[in-house]
Amino acid sequence: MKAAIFFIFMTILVTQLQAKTLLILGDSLTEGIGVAKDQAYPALLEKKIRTSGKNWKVINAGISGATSASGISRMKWHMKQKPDLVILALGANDGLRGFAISETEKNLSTVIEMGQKEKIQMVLAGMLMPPNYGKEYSEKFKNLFPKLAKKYKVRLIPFLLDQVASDPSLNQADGIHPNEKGHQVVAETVYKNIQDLL
Amino acid sequence: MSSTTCIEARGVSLIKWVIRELRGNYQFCLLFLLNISIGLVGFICLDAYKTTLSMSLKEQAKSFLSAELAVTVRRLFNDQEINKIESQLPAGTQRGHLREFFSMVTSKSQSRLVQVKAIDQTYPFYGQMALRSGKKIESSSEKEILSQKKVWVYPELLSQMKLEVGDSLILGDQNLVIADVITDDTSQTFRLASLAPKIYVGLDQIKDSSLFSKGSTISDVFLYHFEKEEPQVVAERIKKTLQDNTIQVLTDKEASEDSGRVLGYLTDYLGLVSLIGLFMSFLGGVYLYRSYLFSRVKNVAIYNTLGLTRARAQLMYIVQVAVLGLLASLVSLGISYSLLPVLQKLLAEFTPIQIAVHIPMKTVFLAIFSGVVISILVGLPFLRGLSKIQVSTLFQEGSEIHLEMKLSDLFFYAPAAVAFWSLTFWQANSFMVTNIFVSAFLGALIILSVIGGALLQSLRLLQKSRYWPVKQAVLFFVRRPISALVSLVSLGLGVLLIQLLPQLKTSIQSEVEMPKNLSLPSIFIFDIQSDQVEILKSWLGENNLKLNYLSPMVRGRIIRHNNQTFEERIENQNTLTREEESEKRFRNRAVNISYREGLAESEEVVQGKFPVDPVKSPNDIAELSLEKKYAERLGFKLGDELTFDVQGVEIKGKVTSFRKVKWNSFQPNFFILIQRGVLEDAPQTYLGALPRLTPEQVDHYQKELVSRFPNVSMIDVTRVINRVVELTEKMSFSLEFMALIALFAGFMVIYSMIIQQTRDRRWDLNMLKILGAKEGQLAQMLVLEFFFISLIGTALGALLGLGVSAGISLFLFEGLFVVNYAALFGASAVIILMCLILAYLTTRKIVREKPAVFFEM
Repeated sequence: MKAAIFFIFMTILVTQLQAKTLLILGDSLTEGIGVAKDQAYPALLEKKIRTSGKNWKVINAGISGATSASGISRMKWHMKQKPDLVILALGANDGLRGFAISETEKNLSTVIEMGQKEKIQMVLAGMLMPPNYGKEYSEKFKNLFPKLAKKYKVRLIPFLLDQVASDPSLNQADGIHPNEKGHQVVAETVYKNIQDLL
Repeated sequence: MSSTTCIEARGVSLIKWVIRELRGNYQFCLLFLLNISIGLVGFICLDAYKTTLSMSLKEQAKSFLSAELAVTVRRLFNDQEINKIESQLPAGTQRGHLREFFSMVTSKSQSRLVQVKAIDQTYPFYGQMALRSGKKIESSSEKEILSQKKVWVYPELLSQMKLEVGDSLILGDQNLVIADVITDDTSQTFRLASLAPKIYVGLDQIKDSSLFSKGSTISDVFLYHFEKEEPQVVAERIKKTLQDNTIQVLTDKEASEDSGRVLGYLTDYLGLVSLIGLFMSFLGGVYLYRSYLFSRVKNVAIYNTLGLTRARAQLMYIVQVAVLGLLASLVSLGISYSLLPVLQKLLAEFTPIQIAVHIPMKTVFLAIFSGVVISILVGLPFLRGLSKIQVSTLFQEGSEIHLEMKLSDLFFYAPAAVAFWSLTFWQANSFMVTNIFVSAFLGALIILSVIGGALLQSLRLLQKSRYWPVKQAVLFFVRRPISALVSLVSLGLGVLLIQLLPQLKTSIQSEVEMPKNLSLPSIFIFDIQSDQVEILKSWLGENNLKLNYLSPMVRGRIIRHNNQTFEERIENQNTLTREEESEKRFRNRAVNISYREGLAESEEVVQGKFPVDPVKSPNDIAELSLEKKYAERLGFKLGDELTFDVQGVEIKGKVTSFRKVKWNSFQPNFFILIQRGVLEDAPQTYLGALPRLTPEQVDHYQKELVSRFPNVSMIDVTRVINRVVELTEKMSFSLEFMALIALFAGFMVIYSMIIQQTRDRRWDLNMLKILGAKEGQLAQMLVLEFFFISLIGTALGALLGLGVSAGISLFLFEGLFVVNYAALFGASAVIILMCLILAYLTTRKIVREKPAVFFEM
């Protein structure tokens, strides 16, 4: 009996000590183009989670220019690390390049299904298109993310760049990519939306 | 002779005597005129060509930007900012306003991404657009898209969306009719190949639409057209006033920097060619004039005995050289003016912006100045010698009587040296380049004199030869070391200058030209996923197409350099200057890493060894091959260790080679190549290219690819490549043409120098003939003599030419240097052969002369 109690205690202890893995599968916004790696939002998020006393490791799987189509092969590669939680932050480049919404939807669906099949908690980060892409396209794009979140019953971060997009003080000169301060806001947004899942 | 006794008393005009002297020495006059004229024609034509080409390029640069200055930001400008900007502009500046952005346009059946350019009436201040209807659109043209709901589109949009002129498009909430198709657009730089076709629309037609609201990613651009101030100066003022790194201030020069760099090499080269041509002709002129004056020493001594003062004699020869110089300038100007149409045709090859080739007034002035003043200045040291002629000279024997020279006489070379320095500065417009060029020339002169002199001295060893012609040939060097050295140095300098042009040309050409047997692409395909590669290849195979240059791309961050943190944290971007922020952000960018079995045609290893074999074990440190300029910018050296973060996995690599990449080859190239066997399993996408296709095929396959592989992105590079290939070929032709002209001029100069040298030997040859030497012996002697001189002079000149070319390449052309072996050995062989043939022909001519000629000398 004592041995059994000791075994259970040790199992709980090891589990607590072993860091869990949060994978962020994204594009240049996640990669943190132009800012140092430790100033990009995935690194800031990890700090934030650890400060709250939780033992999580955040993997920055952001690739500049990546479209949703790359999500499938990249998910396969990262599943080897058996992540506990995946934030899917892809799709912005699809929109900027004018891809058909149905194509983005198909790719994001595949990635979510791959994760759910492996019992990985999936979170979807919503994106918006700038108004210059036209009302019709922007609306369709905006609606894609809630639609997928509802369909697959996954947590939705309504807009990854909430409070950051279109604020010059939080963006680099290109007006699209967040600067160091912008990444702090993004980290906060993500944290708020997933803290109960950690 | 009696007429000369009272030259001054009788008041016979100086000019009359000058003409008489010149008439009596028409052979010298012709050679001198030929030499100086060739140099001056080259100088005038190339200068006119260079000036006009520079003007055209400046105009072209303005047409890329379509103004002198552009101020742009990736949002909308506010009134306060506009006021600040415009407070810094010169009075009378014209303002243009445009907005550029990506958007989706919709037709009845489909949507498509386009790049929108919303313009106002002023656009473009420079350059023009050609429309399919035949209209040319300039700043003053009437533009239907400004007042009506109409749009001009790039042709590919019509085929991609199956539309025609007259059909409608929806942009934002506007319904726009396609009014015309743009067939040419000068605002398109060589590199710009957009992801989407362009459309032009009137700014007022969409200004109030929902396209421009909070969050829009647009470029708001104000274009400024002014003439009173340098754009760079105004740009600096605006930057200081704004203190906002997000606002870009661009000048015409910066806008054309990429495409203008290579053309800049060409104008620098032309400047050098014209200068070298001029140097060469005056070198020939100096040599001829020296020989001529020495041949006139006895006459001057006779004139002196008959009452002509030495000063008067000097004046006579100064007027002679000035008259010849003036004649050469006028002849050169005449020839140059008649060559203008040819230059105009050549210029038309380069730039669509045509400016009539003209000879600038300052060039005309400089040509006359060079012809007259520099001719006098280069003759000054020898004219100085005339004041030392003694009557005893009349009792000396020989064809060449040496004038006593002191070290202080070197002072008389100073005016010519200053004149050449000033000319070089006028051409190069840089103290550094001028000093390098003049120092290189003087250095070569000293090296040639020292080494050439030593080698000639070493020929004394052959003095004891039993073979009479060898002995006699060597005796010439022993008895007249100065004369032999002058011949050798002049020849060496001529060869040096001749070598400079093809060597520099080859170096620039190697940069400009595309690698041989390169398959140029028509469409770049990127974002191909790993699992799509085989499907895509097979589909293309069914259509008899091959996916060329397939290259994997893995994205990674450099996190450590030799175990030191590589990235630079930015705590507060407001404390950084625009340049500092841009440099730091460059370091903080992830990089594309690729791997390949061997080098591509468009790259070569310049240092170290390329890793051909894969790593032996996955745990080994991989070898890295870096693009040289990229490595220089980031301070990476051979042997350095770099650590990458590839999607959360750390990969270590050691720099083992540097590559030089021809970026204009249109082959996929990478700053960083890693040894195979390391990144094959990492997440990656592929980049490939389709071979050259007809415009119809390009349209067809683009449409097919979009429908079959919707995630794959494409860029049609046909238009850009056509323009670059055309420009490259023409530039290459122009370089060849200029180098050939300069080579021809160089050979002409060398020819006249050799002719003069052989003429100088007439007295000796006639003496030997009278003493019983046979024609064959004389021919062998002279040929051997010239063989020694030409071999040493040419070898030294060619080697020095290589050295100087490498030096100039280093400073002027960013270190590009490729040896042109054909020119090195070919031109040297031609010069040596020319020397030998001319020596032989001269001997034959002299042998046929009557012995009485001896008494005429």
